[in-house]
Amino acid sequence: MTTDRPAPRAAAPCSEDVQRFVFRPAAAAGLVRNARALLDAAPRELAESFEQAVRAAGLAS
Amino acid sequence: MALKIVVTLHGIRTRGQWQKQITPYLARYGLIPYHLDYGFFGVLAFLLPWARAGRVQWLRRELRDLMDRTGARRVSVIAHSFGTWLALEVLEAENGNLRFDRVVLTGSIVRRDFPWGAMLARRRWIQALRNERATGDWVVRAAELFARLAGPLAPRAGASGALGFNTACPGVHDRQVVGGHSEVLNIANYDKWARFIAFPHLPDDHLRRVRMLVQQIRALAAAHLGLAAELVRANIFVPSASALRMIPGAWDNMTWAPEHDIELALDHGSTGRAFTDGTPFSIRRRGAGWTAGVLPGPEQAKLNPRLQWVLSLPIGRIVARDDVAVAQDVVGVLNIDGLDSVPALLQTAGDQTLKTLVFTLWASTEKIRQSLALANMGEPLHDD
Repeated sequence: MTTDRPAPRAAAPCSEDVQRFVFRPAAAAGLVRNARALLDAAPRELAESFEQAVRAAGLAS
Repeated sequence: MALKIVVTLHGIRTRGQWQKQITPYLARYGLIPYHLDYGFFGVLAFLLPWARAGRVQWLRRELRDLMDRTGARRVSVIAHSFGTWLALEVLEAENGNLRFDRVVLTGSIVRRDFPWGAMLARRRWIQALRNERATGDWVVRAAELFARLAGPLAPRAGASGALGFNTACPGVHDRQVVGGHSEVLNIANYDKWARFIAFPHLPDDHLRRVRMLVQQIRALAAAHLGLAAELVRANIFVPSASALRMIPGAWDNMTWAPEHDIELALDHGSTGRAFTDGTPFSIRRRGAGWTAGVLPGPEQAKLNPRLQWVLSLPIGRIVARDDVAVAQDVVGVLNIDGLDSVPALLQTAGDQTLKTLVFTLWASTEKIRQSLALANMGEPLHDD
């Protein structure tokens, strides 16, 4: 559904561990369904904000 | 908080009554007005190259003197008509020695092919522009006609105050009204111009909503990461003066005051990468690492020493691009971070529960995006 891959490191040396989150729209249905479950008990405003984003992105089912 | 100075410039055949009227609107947002008056400048003087050049030199001196005396690195500008032309002529003549913060052009006679892409994105001589234009403005059309017909004597002028600019680019906000040359000086616009210039400081309507959503997102993150709420914090970084800076007040549980003034390079760390890449990033301490070379010394010293991890969510319109969901037109980054320890979930790369949580938090920033986008243009909150 989604894959994570290491981000390109900056030229400056550092010991930080950076993780990039990559989401594939093709596999969004399950992701959105699980996300809605997380938002079950969330305030209405937050759930609305989420729904507006997934609708605009064409990810809503 | 750095004080913001707003230079106002009137047009020809006027002494700028609007400059006096706008003062209380600027003061409402903590802005410092500095009204410049170059005297009554007639149409005939506008047609004479040496007369125009004299005003350009005068404005260069005024602005340099103002910045020397105040120590300001940038000033914002509100200009009308010939004042718009003057301001941008000076900016180009100074060739980077003088920079503007946020600029409002009203009844602009600046040429329509002005290189906004270079000015905003590459050279960063200006942070943002609001072009307030009137479709029936014959004065700016006459200025463009004169510029075409008068050959080498003509100013580099155009009807951008009626027709807008040729090139659209991020940071250029175009507002249109129906009316003539003075219609854009409608007092109903003054509050919006003040809001536009005050950004990234948020006016109360936007700040209330953004702060509420930030609180809710922080609480959701804490609950699902299995952390005590007091160990989780949230803040928003936006680009300002060539760096990413926190929006004052648009945070939750940020009790370590030195962090409020932290400056991040536009592409630095998880915040910078989220901002430039448009996808969420996370960063965490690993052993004794992180402290060396992560931030320039003065900025590193501002960090709360208890900080252990950061999750950076780009605030933008989420779209599918190249088969990846990315935020486009990113206006800022919501950081959720934590103190004392790294939650187990964040240490399990590829975990589906973590991915679901990150996506949920990320998509929940949509109403924050709407508020920041409106505030960035100077527009008030529209109830939805």
